[in-house]
Amino acid sequence: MANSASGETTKPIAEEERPREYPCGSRGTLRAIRTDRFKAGQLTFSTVLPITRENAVMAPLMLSVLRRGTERYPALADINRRLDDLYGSALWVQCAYRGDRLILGFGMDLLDGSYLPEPVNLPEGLTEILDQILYHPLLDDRGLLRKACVESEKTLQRDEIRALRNVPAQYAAAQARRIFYEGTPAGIPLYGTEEEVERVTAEQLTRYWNCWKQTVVPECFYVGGDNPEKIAGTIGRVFDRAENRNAVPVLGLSDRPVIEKADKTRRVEEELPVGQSHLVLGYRTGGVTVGHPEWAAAALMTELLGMSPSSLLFRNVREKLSLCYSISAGYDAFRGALFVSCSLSAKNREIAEAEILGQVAALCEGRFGNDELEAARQSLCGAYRQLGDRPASLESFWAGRAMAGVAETPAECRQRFAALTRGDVIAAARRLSLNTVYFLRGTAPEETIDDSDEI
Amino acid sequence: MIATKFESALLRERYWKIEHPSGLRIYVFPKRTTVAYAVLATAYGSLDVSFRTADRPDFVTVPDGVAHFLEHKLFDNPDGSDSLLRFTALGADANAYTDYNRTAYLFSTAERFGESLEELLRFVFTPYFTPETVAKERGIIAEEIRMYRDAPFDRCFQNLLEGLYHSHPVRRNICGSEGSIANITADLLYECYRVFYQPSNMILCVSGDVAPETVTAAADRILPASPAPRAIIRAPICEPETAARSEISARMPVSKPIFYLAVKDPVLPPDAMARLRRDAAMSLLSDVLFSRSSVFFNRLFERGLLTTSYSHGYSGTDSFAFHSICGESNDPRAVRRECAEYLAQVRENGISEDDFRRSKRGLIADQIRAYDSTEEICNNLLSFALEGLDLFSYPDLLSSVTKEECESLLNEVFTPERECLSVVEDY
Repeated sequence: MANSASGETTKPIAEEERPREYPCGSRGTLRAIRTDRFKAGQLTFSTVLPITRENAVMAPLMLSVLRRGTERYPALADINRRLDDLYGSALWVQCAYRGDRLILGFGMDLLDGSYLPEPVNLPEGLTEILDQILYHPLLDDRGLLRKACVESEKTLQRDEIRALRNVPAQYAAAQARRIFYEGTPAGIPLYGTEEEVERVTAEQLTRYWNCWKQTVVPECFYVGGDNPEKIAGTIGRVFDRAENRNAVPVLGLSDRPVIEKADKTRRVEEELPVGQSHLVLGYRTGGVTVGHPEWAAAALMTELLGMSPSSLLFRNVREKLSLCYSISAGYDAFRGALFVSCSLSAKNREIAEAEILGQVAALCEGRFGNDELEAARQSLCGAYRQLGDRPASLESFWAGRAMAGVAETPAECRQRFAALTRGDVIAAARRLSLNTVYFLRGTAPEETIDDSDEI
Repeated sequence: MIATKFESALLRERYWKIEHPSGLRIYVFPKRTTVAYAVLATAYGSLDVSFRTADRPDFVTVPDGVAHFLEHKLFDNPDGSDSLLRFTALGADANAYTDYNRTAYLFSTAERFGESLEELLRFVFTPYFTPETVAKERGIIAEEIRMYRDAPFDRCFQNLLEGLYHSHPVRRNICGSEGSIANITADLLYECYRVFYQPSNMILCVSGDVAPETVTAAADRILPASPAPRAIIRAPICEPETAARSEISARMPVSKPIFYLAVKDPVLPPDAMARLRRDAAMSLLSDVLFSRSSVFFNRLFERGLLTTSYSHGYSGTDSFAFHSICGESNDPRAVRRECAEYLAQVRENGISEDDFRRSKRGLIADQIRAYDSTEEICNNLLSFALEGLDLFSYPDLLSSVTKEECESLLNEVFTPERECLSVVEDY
């Protein structure tokens, strides 16, 4: 192996490298990138569900209840202590939306065996915990998930729903998306509503768990130095069960066509007793999602608009007009949407909104410099080059591409960005249509924030 | 130039420390990653509000938030350009942050590392401030201050420091206040810059597929010829051992009360190695007592007094140190009572051998995990370099901490008169 400038001999992950696929039991798949690059690799297990009101409420609640105790590890503390014994390995719940799908599963980190002072098979140890959690939770004498745990986790899930407003910028982003996606699966709030959670019983959740087991098709991803075939075999044994022999994988990102254009602009304003206000603008991208021929142009246009310090929004709204500290644009390439978010004083709302609209218009009219375009291109290419340095980034990139049925490597994506012209970027901007303007008005003047009530 | 090599058999890593003729200390940690990361920092943070140089008799006191203001303005160049844009054009991702004891400028990049490094060195060593640009920045920083005020955990933490400390500058916001930044001028920025941005007060850390010679060559080209360094003397801080307040609370829109429960560590060893050992022992004690595997967390979680939004840890510097637990609870005062009872039980029964072994094993494994990311390596390296310590000394130090040492710290540190509870509750 050739030495690098630094004299290091471990091998970086080649950008053109695609994950290899291994059968994981009779139905599932493990995608793996084998590398000695990391001291700690990562293994994720997930199942894909359609977003429905029931899944949004029940799926995260189910995983939380299952994690509370198992036949071999009766309490949460016992599970955590077992993880500590496995060299402080982390096991985290994954529950997120991608397109119109709910991704549900667990992630775990795996310290490279060569760093352990004694031979311990971490993949087997962690898979055993996973098996206990998913298939051997503690049940009551009627075979139901324990009522006390169900009620406790219901309380925590309701807290989670309410906690959204603790971070006003995140609350504004979530509200804008709820309005933007209303009437579509993505408009259903993850975790449901407090009322929906309150209505769930132990009987219903047990029934849901039993049905879920029949549908499990494991989708796994591994980055690390262990033998992927062995890992696939270990996980496959957990999920190869009679109950899911007829399971059919949920394919694609959605069952419905992407909405291409906004038919009107919806304007919604709310108030919250906080000091700062938050403005979110949601655009449809003309139906351009991952896999669409114009996807790369939409990504570069978003970068130029608001994803780096050299972007139009950062330079004009923040640096020139001093209207805000944070402003950014983000492209939801799985749903064909672009959101601009800005945190500002309420008194600056109109001027900021006008400036944001003005910068989008500048893009449509080609009023941007070649140096600005090249800076955006460099920034975007840099982000794709960095993917190989983090197992979590690789997992996220490839899992999304697998769902979209796209096999482009990060290197191939960069080649597409390199080939884009000004005209491609202008065309991507002209496909934008404004669907949602959401404003969260902060109504608390500074002096009402009380910090003087010492006890 | 004097170069020293450090190696770790446990981690299978190595790095170099290079004393550059300018006075800048350079650390290069080779990693064969796609992305290289560099951070250039000055030992100047929000705590440095009262200081003098050895050639001046009197201490100067400046408004809160100058270090942070400088961080914002240093990206401006005399030709009117902005270094943030130059980094983007080079394909690099640049940023900066200000902490209590440092201001750091950083970038990560997958290509053209040498050019980005030169840009980093050039802009940090070329200050350019005008009354107009300073005035303009106030609006942006005011929005940043408001953003943190609206973040309940940040607010709760800031209040905690105000409750723990009587007069220590750590109780004041790193960004300053809207009132204090109104008094910051271009001249003041230049004055503070000249004191704290001397190469001898600064450290450069680099990690990635970069040879040490590449880094020193860039430093040779860019760094100014260094006049004799002017020693910086900070005004002494007199802070009682007790907490300023037992409890402090605020009201904000939150779904559930948020709390920090902290205890001030009264012992701040002047020797950096002794401080590091205390840090290792306190971190281990914290894990044994308060991790998610602990009796404390699980007892309170099962009773609904704690949620999974929970953390714990020890923060120590040469001028302040404290241990804290943080989370959400319907009854933070009950958490405090439970914590006192729990600590009394552990004092009586001693720390369990099993818990101690498990925590130590997990923390040492975490040390190994920390060497996959160039960003994490650089920032850890910087923290150790600011203290004049070898990064690789920590795992060995952690291994050598005994249960008895932790038990002794439990008795020494956790006393009610040094404790403060900060709560943020809904209206």
